Amino acid sequence: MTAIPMPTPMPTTILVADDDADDRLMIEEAFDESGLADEVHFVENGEQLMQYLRREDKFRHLSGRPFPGVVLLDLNMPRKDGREALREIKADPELCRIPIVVLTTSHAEDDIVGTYGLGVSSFITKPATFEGLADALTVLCRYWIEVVSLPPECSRPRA
Amino acid sequence: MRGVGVGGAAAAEALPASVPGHAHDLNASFQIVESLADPCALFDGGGRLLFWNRACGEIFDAIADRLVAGSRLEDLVRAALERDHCARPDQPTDRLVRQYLALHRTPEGTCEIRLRDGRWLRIRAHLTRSGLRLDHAILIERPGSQHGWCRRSQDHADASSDWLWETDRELRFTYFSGQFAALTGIPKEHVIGRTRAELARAGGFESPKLRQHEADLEARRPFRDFCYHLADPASGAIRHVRVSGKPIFDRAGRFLGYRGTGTDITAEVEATRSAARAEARLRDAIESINDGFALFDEDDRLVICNRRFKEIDALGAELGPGTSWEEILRAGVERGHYAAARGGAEAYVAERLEHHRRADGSVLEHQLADGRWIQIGEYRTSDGGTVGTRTDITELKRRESARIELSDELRIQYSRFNAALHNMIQGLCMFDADQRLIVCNERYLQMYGFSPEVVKPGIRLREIMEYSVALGNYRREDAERAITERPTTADKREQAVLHQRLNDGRVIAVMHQPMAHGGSVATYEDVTQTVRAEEALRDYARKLERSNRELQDFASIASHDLQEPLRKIEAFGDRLKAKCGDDLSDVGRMYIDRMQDAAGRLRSLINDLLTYSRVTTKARPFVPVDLGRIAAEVMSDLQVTIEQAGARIELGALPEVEADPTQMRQLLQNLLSNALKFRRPSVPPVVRISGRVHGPERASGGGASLCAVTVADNGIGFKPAYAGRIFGIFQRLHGRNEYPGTGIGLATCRKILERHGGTITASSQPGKGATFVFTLPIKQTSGPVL
Repeated sequence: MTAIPMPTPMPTTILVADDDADDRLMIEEAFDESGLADEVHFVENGEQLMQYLRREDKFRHLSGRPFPGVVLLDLNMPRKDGREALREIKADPELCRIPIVVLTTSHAEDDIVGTYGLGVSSFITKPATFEGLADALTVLCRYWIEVVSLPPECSRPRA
Repeated sequence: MRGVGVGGAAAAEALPASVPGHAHDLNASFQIVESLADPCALFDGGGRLLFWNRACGEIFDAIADRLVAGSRLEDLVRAALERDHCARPDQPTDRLVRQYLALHRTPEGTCEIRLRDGRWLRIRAHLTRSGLRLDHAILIERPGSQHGWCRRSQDHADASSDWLWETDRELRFTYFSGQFAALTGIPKEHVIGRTRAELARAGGFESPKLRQHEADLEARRPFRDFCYHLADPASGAIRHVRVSGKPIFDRAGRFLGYRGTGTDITAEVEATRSAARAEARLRDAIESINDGFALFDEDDRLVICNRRFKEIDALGAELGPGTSWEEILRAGVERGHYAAARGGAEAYVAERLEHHRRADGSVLEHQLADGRWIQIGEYRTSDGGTVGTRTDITELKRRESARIELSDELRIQYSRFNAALHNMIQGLCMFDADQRLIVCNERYLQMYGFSPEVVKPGIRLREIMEYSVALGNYRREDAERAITERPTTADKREQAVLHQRLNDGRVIAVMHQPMAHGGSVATYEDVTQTVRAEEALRDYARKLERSNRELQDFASIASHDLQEPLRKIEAFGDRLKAKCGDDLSDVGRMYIDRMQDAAGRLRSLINDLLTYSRVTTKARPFVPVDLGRIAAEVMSDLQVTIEQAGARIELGALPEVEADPTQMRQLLQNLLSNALKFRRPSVPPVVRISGRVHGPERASGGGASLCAVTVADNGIGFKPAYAGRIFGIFQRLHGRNEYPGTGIGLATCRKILERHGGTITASSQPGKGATFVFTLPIKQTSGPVL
């Protein structure tokens, strides 16, 4: 994988929404090992996710910064779950173009069909092992950071 | 009455002059003879008349023209006889003539003849010494001859309507005695001078008999009893006459005409005709009746019978009128015509004869060989004959026997009904259209504690309910509601069931069934136990359903939620080993390995448990599934395992069934994986998969066709005692280190088949392979079994 050339390295933020502290730790370690993401931010539920994206409350300081290049979204979370948040994001004209990748323990067909229907970019079931997770996240970051072109608001500071 | 005669000169003059000698004596003798009152006639030796006295001339006036000297005796006699002047009614003319001639040839003969007027003459013939013959007649009295011949003849003619007639050579009537006009009313002038044929034809009579008659006349034959009719010219009335006649010839044999008698038979003919008409009417009447009818005379001979009688008693053509009854009867018996005679012909004949002899109007019923029943009636007629009637009563008999059978059947039915009624476990009431009780059984009374004195036929349904309320069986408003809800015969034709709750807690199922002719039958069954059991069962089912659902939810949710911490255990185990492995001792690393291994087993258990619970939670609808195709796909999925094991899979033809395709895949995969897994070491596995379809006749307990699929391997097998156990969840026969697995695979198979209405069985011997057979309905008739 290292064989793939890296054209213009751009600072890219990845936002992870997951209520499970273990998973957050594991994901953080996996990103560390892959060394691909510049910045990985974590929120613990849907409510925080929306605040983060709308730069509200404790996320006001982010105002003017670009949106994350990709959001990793867990579905089952307290207070506001992933599905609700997803619906809100896709209904918001400012946020609707942010790529959303579902990363969840569920592999229920309903969830897969339902979230793609709401406009998610990918659906990943959390691998059981750390190696699996690390592999998945490496591929994911390569793809979203190095391969695809993102909408400008995800890579440029907002006015 | 003695004839007297005076001698006539004419007679003396007739004496032949040539008589030799004795002239004087002769003359004196003539005078004497002439003076005799008795008729005397003298003939010469040749039989020719010489002399006759006046008395003779008077007696024989009818042949006065023939009394001429020289006339032959024979001619005179014949003429006298033929002109009916004298006769012996008892003897024919020719014979009399011969007798008379014979008398003349004897020396001293006598004969007696009767004259037309009834007087009798005794004639004596004397032979004289000179060879002459003197016939001397005296009038005599004969016993019974008080009337003269003529008188008597007239009487005869009167008595038999006779008249006399004569014709000339041309057959024209010349003479009719006076009786003709008196009897027929036809004046003589009408008939004199005409022939009989003319008269007959003028009267409208024309027939072959007339031509025969004419032929007889032409041939100069005598005729008898020729009947014809002629018309009264004045009134046109028809008179029927019967005539007889014979031709008259003179001595030379020349035909002179006919002479004969006639009789007016008009009354007789009309009587005969009206008798014939009456008989024809009687015959028609007899024929027109539907019954057989026969009349026998006093000698028991058949007089008349109708066709129906002939048909019923099978009279052959030969058994016509005149046949005796016994002959007719025996002929029928011989032909086997009477079924009743089969028991003994003689006894039968005797019985029939006795009945016929009695003829007292009593009836017999006998069966004919053709199965018909005949009622025989016999009656005595006033003249000693017997009338027999035959009535076909087959239909009557049939109806009668049907009625008898029916009434027997009804009696049996009634006793059965009664027995059934009082032995019923249900209470039963029958109400008429006015809702009045017709009948009820003991059980009904017991059920409600009714007194038979109160609840008895005639009581109204409403009164029974009032009574029941008074007894405290149920509340008035419940009874009212039941009555209003009760179906009426007008709007409901079908049975209605309602459950009645009594105050004591019992539940009575009341079933009303309308009857065809109004009214209804109500049955009462104490269903307390059943209702309670049903309620308990429903309750239990509800609980079970809830418990099942909870269990499913538990299995599913628990599996999910168990997976999360398990994943962490595994993940951090990995991290521990990866980051800190080098810091650990060998024992520490071994502990981590064992922990990781246990976590892996737990993952398998959770996954299998999820699969098991998803048989019902993630069930999909039944669609047509080609089992052969599914099996091929499963084989393809397991290709690596198959190759590693060096296995051979023989896949036979499998049918198409209605099923959940995912589950069919799961089923076949589990069975094939098992067959590959439990192989004998060093024996390459051989697995045979085959299918069979059973028709509905072999499928037990249902109408649908079934398919049976067999998966047979040559693996390690198992003891037959475990054949049932292996389908239980978490059941394992081997150690984990020998053969991995959770013991849920076959339980999942069974659960899939149960959902599809199928079965699965296994048979095996240790070391001899195992055979699994599952059955599935080809078509699913109802929804999936949950």
